[in-house]
Amino acid sequence: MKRTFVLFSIIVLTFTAKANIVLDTLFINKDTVTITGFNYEICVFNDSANFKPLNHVFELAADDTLQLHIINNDTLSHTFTIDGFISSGNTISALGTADFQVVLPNNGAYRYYSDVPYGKLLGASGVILKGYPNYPKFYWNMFEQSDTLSYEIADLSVSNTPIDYTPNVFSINFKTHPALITDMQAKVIGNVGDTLLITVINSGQMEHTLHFHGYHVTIMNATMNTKMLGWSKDSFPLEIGEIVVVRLVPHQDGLYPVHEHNLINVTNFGVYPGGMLNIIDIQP
Amino acid sequence: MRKNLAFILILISSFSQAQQVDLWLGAKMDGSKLLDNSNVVETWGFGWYSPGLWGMTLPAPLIQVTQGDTVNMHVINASPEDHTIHLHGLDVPTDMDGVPSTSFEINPGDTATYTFVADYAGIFLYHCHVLTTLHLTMGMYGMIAVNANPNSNLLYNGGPSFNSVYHLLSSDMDESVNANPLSPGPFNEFKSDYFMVNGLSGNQLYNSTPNQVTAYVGDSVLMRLGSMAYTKTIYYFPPELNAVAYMSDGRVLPAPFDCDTLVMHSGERYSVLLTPSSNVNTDIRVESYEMRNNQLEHTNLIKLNGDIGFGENDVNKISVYPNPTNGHLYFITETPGSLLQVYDLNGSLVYQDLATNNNSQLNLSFLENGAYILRYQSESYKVIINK
Repeated sequence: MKRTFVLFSIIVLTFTAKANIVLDTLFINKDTVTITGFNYEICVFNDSANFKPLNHVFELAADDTLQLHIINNDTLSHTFTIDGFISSGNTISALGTADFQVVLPNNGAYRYYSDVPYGKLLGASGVILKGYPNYPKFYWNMFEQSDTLSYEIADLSVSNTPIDYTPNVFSINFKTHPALITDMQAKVIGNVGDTLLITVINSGQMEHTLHFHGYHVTIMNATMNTKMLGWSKDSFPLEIGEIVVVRLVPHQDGLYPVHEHNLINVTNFGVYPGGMLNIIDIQP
Repeated sequence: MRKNLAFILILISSFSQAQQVDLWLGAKMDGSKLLDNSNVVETWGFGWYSPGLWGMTLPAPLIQVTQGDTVNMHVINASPEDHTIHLHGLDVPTDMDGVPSTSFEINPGDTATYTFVADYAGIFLYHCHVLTTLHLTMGMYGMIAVNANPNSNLLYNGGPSFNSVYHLLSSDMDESVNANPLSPGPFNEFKSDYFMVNGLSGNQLYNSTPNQVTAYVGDSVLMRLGSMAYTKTIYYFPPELNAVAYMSDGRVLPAPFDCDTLVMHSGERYSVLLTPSSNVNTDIRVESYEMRNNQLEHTNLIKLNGDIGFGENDVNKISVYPNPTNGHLYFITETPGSLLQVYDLNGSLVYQDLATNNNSQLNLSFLENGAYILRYQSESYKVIINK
């Protein structure tokens, strides 16, 4: 009995000892990106001072706590917001810095974003994954925008998505088809029988719906459409700001598209095919 | 043990009915459609093919097969452009997937065969995947129903039973694109301005007998729902129908859920069971919402018949008569003092007045013939104007 108790105590101590503070730095960068010859403004959370058109993805272990230093390279103030966890006192002044301890009690997927119009409307929105198993992971950050509107948001003349919102760029990781299929964070590569995790975030200002060719996927997490948890689906929606994590275990090899099924989103400036059209490449 | 044996025998018997099924479809691009608003637009689509005279339909024909069947869909392209068939949700191999860049296209005048095994019961879709944004608004889509067992009406093997089934496919079009498909303009400016269920809208849908749901108290009615719309579809089932969703995208849900309000996005499918417990004073309402701004764009109604259908109003609440009416009707309520509103089937408010006393006379004769929704407090009633 005594020996069992000692063993249990050692296990608990070992487990506790794994608790870990992860130190990281994010940079708020704003710049222009060009797609099929058109320019638009975006704002992102990068992992370096150099602008890259992507939002950093955090992968935390179950016991990790994130200690974050944020450097705002924009000439406007921003926030670092995680709904339900960090939503006040979280302003980062223009060209300033701020520190945050991100304590997320449960395993799951969390969205962080800048809750100012020229932040969230320009794509400053990323993912923190906590406690997911060590399977191959892929990230799709869905974002749509109008080129002219993006400049109006950036110069502060517009602060809301208008009722006649007509986006002409439909991107995943700020790339559109066909350039998207070379994005190694987005392109799903694996073998028959693998377990693959795909994290999808809707950083845009309209609902999206994804359709998988060739496979059904299992919904592991849906931060808004929570009733879908555990469902096997080939088509599913993402609310504005929602993260959905799906598990794909391919039963067959081949090349299969995954795309937005509201097909105006599969265009580049009105031309089909383009936009939110990605590829799954499964080998035998 | 004996139970296990019986189960195995049932299973074997079920699978032994699987067979090879050959279907013949044709693709055409010469359709025209009279809309509920009297406009005529061009449509493209698929139809059952037979040598000689055949035509396309909107939506394309409902294909019904049995779980376990091996299905050969032979497609004859009798149109001047390339087409494909994408078997949406059937998880077919790449070469059968119907995407031009990874599979093959059917050239004008050619015939091709798509083969799939119907592994799962449920509802699936098929559509052309060539220049998809355009070919969908033109009408090149339909549903595939995979029945669990031809000898017993089960949603899926081991699932609940039903005694009638309806297939409802929501879709929409941008009339300006259908009117001029050769110059469709930038597709991101596509605006759904005509919302359909099974290719019909407004009074065309409401008065279409095959699209009216007939049921009686105690029935189990299976609604197989799918969406090919550019918009978000929301079904509102009257609470008395006790709507429960059991399946989605051709898979059994981990737990059924109540769905008096069912939200469905493009490409999704649901199998919903209705088990009416009493008669109903409203119809099934189907709304479509623009995805870019989440605004309500259109409303359609599915008529209910049988003893659950619109019959005697609950006189304890309100009474509306005569109905149908020439426009002049009486409205009686025991709870006056609220705003009475009348909507057309597009969801537009066409009349409103304050019900100041128990017995009001309404003059709706200025409205055109057709069905309208009268709303008072939390109740909705259908009014037919027939002058």
